[in-house]
Amino acid sequence: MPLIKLTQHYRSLIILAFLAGTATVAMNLGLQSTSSYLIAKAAHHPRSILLLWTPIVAVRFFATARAGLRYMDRYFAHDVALRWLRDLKTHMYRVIEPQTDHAIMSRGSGEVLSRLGSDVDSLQNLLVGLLEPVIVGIFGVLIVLAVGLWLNPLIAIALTAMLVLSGAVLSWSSARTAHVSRARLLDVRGRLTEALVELLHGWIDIRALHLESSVQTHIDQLQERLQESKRYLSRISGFVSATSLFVTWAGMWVVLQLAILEVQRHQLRPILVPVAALLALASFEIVSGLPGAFQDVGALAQAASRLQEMKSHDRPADHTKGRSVIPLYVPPLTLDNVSLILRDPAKPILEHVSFTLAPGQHLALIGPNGSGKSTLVNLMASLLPYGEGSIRLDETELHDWDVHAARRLLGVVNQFPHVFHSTLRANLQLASPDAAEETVRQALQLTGLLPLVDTLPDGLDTVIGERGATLSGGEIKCLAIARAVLKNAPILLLDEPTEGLDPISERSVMENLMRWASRRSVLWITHSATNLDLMDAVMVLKDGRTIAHGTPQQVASHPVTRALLRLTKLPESIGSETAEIT
Amino acid sequence: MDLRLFRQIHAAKRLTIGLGIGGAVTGILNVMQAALLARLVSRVYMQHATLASVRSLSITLLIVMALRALVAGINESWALRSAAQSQMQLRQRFVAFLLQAGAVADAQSEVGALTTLAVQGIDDFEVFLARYVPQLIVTAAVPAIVWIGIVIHDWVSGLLILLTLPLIPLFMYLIGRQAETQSKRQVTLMARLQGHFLDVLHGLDTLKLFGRSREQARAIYRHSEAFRASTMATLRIAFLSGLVLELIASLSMAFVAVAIGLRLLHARLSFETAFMVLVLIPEFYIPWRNLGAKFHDGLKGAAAAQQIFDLAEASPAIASGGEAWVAAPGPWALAWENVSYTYPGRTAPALHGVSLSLAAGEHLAVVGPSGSGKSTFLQLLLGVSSFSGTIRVAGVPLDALDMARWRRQMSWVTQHPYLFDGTIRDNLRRVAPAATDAEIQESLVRSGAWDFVRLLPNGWDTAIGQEGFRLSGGQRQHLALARAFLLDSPIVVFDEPTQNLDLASEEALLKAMHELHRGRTTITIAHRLATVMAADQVLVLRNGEAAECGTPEQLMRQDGLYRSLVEAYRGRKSPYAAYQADPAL
Repeated sequence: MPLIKLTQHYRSLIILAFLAGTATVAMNLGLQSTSSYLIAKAAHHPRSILLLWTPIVAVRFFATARAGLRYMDRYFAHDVALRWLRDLKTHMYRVIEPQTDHAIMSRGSGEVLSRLGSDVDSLQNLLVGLLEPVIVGIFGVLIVLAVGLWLNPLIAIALTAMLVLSGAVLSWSSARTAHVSRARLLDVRGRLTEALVELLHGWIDIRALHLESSVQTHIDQLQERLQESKRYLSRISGFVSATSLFVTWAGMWVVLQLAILEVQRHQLRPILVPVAALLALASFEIVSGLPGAFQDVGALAQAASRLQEMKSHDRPADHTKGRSVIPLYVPPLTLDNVSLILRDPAKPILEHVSFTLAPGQHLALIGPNGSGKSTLVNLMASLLPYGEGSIRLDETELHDWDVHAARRLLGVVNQFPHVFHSTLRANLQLASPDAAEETVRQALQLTGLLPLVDTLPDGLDTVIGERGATLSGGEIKCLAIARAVLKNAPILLLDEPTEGLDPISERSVMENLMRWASRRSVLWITHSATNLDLMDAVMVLKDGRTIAHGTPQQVASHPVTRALLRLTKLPESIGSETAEIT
Repeated sequence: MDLRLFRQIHAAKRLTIGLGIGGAVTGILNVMQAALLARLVSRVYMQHATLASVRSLSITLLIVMALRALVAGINESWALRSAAQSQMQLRQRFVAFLLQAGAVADAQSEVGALTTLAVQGIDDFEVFLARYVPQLIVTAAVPAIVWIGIVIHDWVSGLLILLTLPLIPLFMYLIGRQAETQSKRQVTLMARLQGHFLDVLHGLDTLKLFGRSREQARAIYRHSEAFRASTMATLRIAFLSGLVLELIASLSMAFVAVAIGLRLLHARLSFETAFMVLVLIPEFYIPWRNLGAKFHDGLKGAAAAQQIFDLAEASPAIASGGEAWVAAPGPWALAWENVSYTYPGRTAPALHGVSLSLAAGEHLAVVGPSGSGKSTFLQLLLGVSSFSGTIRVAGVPLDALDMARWRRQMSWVTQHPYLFDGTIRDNLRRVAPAATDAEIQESLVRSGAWDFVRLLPNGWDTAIGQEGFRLSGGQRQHLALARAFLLDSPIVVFDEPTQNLDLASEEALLKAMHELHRGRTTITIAHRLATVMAADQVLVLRNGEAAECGTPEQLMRQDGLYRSLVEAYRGRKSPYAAYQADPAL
């Protein structure tokens, strides 16, 4: 497997870990057999203690070495695993980063990415979890065979055969059990999780509608099913461990019987009977690690092949050759007849969309969900390749730009902006690493976040939770706006930037932002028709087509858009009884 | 370990007793196996017995071995089973607690933390019971019995082992303390370092937009390397303690073996006893070693259990209600008098001194930035927890009302309507068991849900929540509205139901909401100015306090936030001045 090449810089460490693992096993064999030899020898009352000196020293040596080597083995094995994880992550990121494939890059790819993350995590166990027990097992069995041959060929062959057989059978049954358990548990566990999440989000509803007992019953049923599977699995698991223990002892028992037989036939010195018995007992420890190693072998193989596939895919990369000189003025952005088909050819995402975002123009783009608004932003930001039509930035076709230079002209707030599990400061400085404290605070002031930040004990150094878990949806959007402001780009593309804010905050943010961007171009995507008075022009998009384009007043009076906009029209007489909201 | 575990979780008690018996039997079988093995080897080695003459001894040994394996298997399956059962009981307690307790979480972050606890935390607890507790019990039972077995046959060796014993708990303690400091101080940092890769992958678009994606490869390397370094630093000490533990075990064994050898030499001991002791010594030390290896499982699971028990104990006092009832049928006038509420464990109140009165059939709009106490304001009306101040329903204090009956007077339409697995019709009927099919259909029609329900392959008998069929956000809201129509309650509460909906869905929903307004008292957390302006009363909340409150006309007369907002819409004056003057917002 080519991914294993990543380990070349610390191959010696891997070998060291494997050697230490094998040596530990060998020391254990030595300790058990020499100590039994020692007492067997002593029981024959030799004339002098000096005759026992060699086994005594050997016993002490093996005991100390076993402990030391086990420590080395564990230490190096963990170190190697973590190095491998580090390089695997870096490597996979380098593979993924330049790809523009919308299956990876566009929204809805969360699953692909999460799976990549968990694949990498499970693959970290390949070296230490799977490879080491197998290699140690192979070498351990060879050592047993060598020692055994020195004792007695019959015992050696029988013991080796039993070790190989039991190792294989136990590994297979363990892989099998893991497979069965995954198949049985995964689905019902997922549904239980879902039910718990729904309960946490919907507890108000549940209380208000007196659904407590229904919820309890539903969760109890799922738990009961989970329980049933677990009962079944616990029986299997108990059976497997009983079998593997019995195999170990029965193996020793067989060796003992053979040893007695060989003594009878004068093929073995009687003093070696106890040695053979304890050697056999110790040797089964060699294969005892195998069942655990093979538990995840199926998942591991899948993870490896998925990563390999992701690597080998010939995906288009970001175009980095092309114009890299950026203008010092605000450049125009022009779309000409842009069409896009993603999955279903009968349902194009965009159809012949044309418009120009003139320098300094503030343009609002309205449309219902699924009308292609967010796709448009992704096209303009080179996150999606466009096939049909033309997108020109400063009169240069987007294809002919160095993608990094083109993106430098754009300040973007996505529909679902990502905030990183890091400090507020780090999230903001993504846009401008050298931004002064004062600049950062100004950007926050503009979005109304500053008072909140000032109440936090750690201020800008507060770590925000995973995917902004400690922030509300509106606060995440505000943070993304502040980030885009800090980037200080001439063109702003805002995809529903005020979603999740209350009307008062929304108005304030939009006013501040438009004032800040008075000389910049702005494309503001929204699904409501409020705050349109702040814009120069409005365009209405429906099912991938432009259905209206003009000043806010013109668009509002357009017969087609009237239907779309009428519900957001404000009542004329404030607070009157007859105020209609529909 | 938390004693509440055994008091409150029955299966845990059964697990402990079962494992205790299993451990004792294992210990006895251990000694028997060693004794039989020693006898067998001794007969052959010392007395040159033939295979035939030791046949019965061999068979007995094999039977003891089989029994021991059987007991081990039963023990394991028993541990897994009881752990699963305990986990189920704990989760049931957790669910019951969530269903009964009052307002447990207000912020998004807390819902997230509770979800993690409910899913991951309880799974950790199961691992703790299935792996750590059995090992703990085995460590308590087996070495003791093995030791007795050794002492009976050879008290000198027993004494020698006993001398090494105090060292073991000492090093176990050192490992434990190390692990605990590590878990407290570093676990969050480590989790962040470890999660960095996935975080970067999910943020790839954002990174590209800011031209920072290429340099992230180095950041990933740095984070993973930092993770490796800090993990290895903690592991080094844990391993070192493990090494010492192992050395003690190994050297004790070597020590005893040599001592036995010397005593054999002087004929003070029989070979049989010596061999038996030699076989038994590892059995004495192995449980300790395994316990050390499972320490982390123990730590995590115990922490989760403790969190759940703490949570249940710290829950806010549940409003118990009384017997009283309002004489007149609804809708009723509602009055809030100096209402305040502080979440348990917090110092700052979520709601502070809110007073307001709403006439029967009026519509109230609640406005304010996130975290200003809007949701808390609504939740208190549900009577989920006791608060200071009074809410009166037609003059009767809320805490004197029959709570179960009071809650039936309200319909809630929230951002996350709860729908359970089952058909659409089941979901509605569960709310109003006495409703006829005609009434259910009418509620679907009036809520606007019928438009999509009739197009479903099985109509209203379509099961929701099953794989392959998912309702959109707007469709769920429509069903929540249908429930409200079906309940036909005098009070309706809307908690931002139109958020995250597009224009068309919002329009359809608003139509139905408007129809629901008629003849009912409604309270709406408003995100749209149109809703606010159409209300009879507006409550503007800020930091838990009523910043402004009154009819829209009254608020227009005050120079406050509301007026600046409306004027901004009409383009007369910028609200910016108001914000500048008011740094708290």
